[in-house]
Amino acid sequence: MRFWRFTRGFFLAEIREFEVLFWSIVFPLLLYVFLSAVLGNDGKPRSMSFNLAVVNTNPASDETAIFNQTLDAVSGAEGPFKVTFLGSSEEALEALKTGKQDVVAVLAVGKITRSRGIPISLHSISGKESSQVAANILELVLEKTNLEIERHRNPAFQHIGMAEEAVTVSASSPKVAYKDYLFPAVALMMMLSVALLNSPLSLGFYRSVGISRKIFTTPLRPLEYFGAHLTKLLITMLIPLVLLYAMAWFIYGVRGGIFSPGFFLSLILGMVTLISIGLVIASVAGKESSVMVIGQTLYQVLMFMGGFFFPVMGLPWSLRWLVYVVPTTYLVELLRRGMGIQTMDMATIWLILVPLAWVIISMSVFSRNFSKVMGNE
Amino acid sequence: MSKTILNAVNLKKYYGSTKAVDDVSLEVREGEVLSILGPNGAGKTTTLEMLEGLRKPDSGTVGLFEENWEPTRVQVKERIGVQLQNSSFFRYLSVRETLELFRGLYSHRLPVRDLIIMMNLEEKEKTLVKHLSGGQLQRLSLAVAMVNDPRLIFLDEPTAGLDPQARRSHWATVLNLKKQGKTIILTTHYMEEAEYLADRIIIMDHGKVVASGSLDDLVSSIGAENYISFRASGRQMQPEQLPGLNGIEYKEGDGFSFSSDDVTRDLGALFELSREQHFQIDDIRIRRPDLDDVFLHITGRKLRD
Repeated sequence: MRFWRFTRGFFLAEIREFEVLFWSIVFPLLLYVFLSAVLGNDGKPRSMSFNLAVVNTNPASDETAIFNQTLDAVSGAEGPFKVTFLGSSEEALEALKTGKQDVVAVLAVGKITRSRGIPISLHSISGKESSQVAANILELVLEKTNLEIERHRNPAFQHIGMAEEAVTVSASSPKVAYKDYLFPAVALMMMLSVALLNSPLSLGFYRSVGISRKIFTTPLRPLEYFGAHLTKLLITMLIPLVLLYAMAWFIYGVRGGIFSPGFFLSLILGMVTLISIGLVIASVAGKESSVMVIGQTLYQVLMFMGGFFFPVMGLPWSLRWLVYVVPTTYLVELLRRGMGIQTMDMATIWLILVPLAWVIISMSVFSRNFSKVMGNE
Repeated sequence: MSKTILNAVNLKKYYGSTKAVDDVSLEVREGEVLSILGPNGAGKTTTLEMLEGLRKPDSGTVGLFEENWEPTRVQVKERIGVQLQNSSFFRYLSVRETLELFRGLYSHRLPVRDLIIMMNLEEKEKTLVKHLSGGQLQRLSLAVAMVNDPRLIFLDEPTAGLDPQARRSHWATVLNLKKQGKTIILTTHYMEEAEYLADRIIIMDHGKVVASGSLDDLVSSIGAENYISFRASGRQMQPEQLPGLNGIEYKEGDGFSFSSDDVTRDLGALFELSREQHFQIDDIRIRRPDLDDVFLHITGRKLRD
């Protein structure tokens, strides 16, 4: 009973501190919202849509029929263009100037030749990004159209068309939504904040101001105090995790096995690994300022080198060795695999063994310094 | 004769090559207030922490209560109350929550309301610890030391840093605990505190016990019944120009002082010297010796130095 009474007070004392509340709970959630909004288009499937005005006064010709088919392909539900056919260049250019259209394509009448392909005038507004992007995309589309026209006229182009099909299959493999990719990273980030900063800072602070000494004058044993500390950390980690789950599930529609036992076990492995690293920081750093320096540095390294927010396997070797050393690389990959996302070519067993090795090494360092860390001679 | 509640024998503690506590032995009887007095760095806190079980002695033993238990035993911790030198608690808990937290760690405990009333903390009951003044924090610290209604209370420099009013208030609380029959061991470097509160005083210096006994015992041990102090004007005087005055010395700011076992005789001698040496006597005072004099007599230094 006394353990739970103490843990309750211990937890309350800490969660009321603004810094703990903000960095452990609020900040990671805000970051999830921010990154999803910036890089993941607010959690919805990424879609670009441009308004394209087409002026074609000769729609019956064979070449423009192919052109029209191509336009149909790029203006469907998945395509980037919303096509409007207009009767004259003047009308189309007016629509472009007033912002109703992003790009205008005017097909020249009666000038289609084998050497020149389809003579098209593309009109865009310089300095307007969406207009420039739309024009560039349309250029690519038209190149494709030219190729199709050539293929129709010359059977030798059949082979090229076949090769292109293969590329298309690869490009249409399932895409990973950034909100899904980010979910394990934010979950680990929440744990990192509690384990690497909150935990060693509170141990150091209570030791330096004499609170832990005061506690050791009571019947509470050092191991009970440590147990209360761990319980407090777990609760502090679980609260933001629950909020993250709720946000991911209800707002962003993240699914992909985040409620599977395997995913939960991976989360537990993450908690244990990161807490043990935090205890090493508490063992080697005497003062709060040292904890801040070591903790913050490790926090950044484990977060960025662990590939939380972007792929890290393409980094130069001068940095990539860190990717292989830090446990977060393996933890975040393990969690992502639990969601059906694979970013590394590595056997799953290594994703478990490397963090476990970190736990064993860290806990052996901590156990040697247990009395010192707890403030109990 | 009351029974022994604490017995420490030949305690030694080293920090590297520094001897913090050097062969200290002491015995505390139930119901008494024992004060460990000494300047900063004398080894008081280290000694107290060895008695409390917070530090392990390099050699020597500590036995508490009738069972002669080691101080680290849970049974001992259930029966002692400790106020540490620096009173720090969880900043974001209120006074009541702090008391409830510590109270929850003991099997025998006093009601929180009683503790709050006992320490005059009614108005601060819901105040967060971080908003308490130094005096209020010390009162809370003492209340926390009392949550288990301890038989033996350790107070380490309980009034250090407090203003005179808060110090007096704290002394009144300690005296009240003494009236309740609590045994109290307190360290202090304020001789007034030791004189006011203690039944028995242990004086420590450089890790050793240099004297112990009641206030009267200690004062009479130096052989002086009174001290006479004065200022000389009209002529620059040196102590060697004033023969016949026992142990006369001069201190800038304090003037001259000497011990006397016969005030009438020694005052006569002083006035005779002033006539002979042509100086005037100002601000003459006669006072009984205090612990500072005892410390000076034993160590050659003043307690406040």
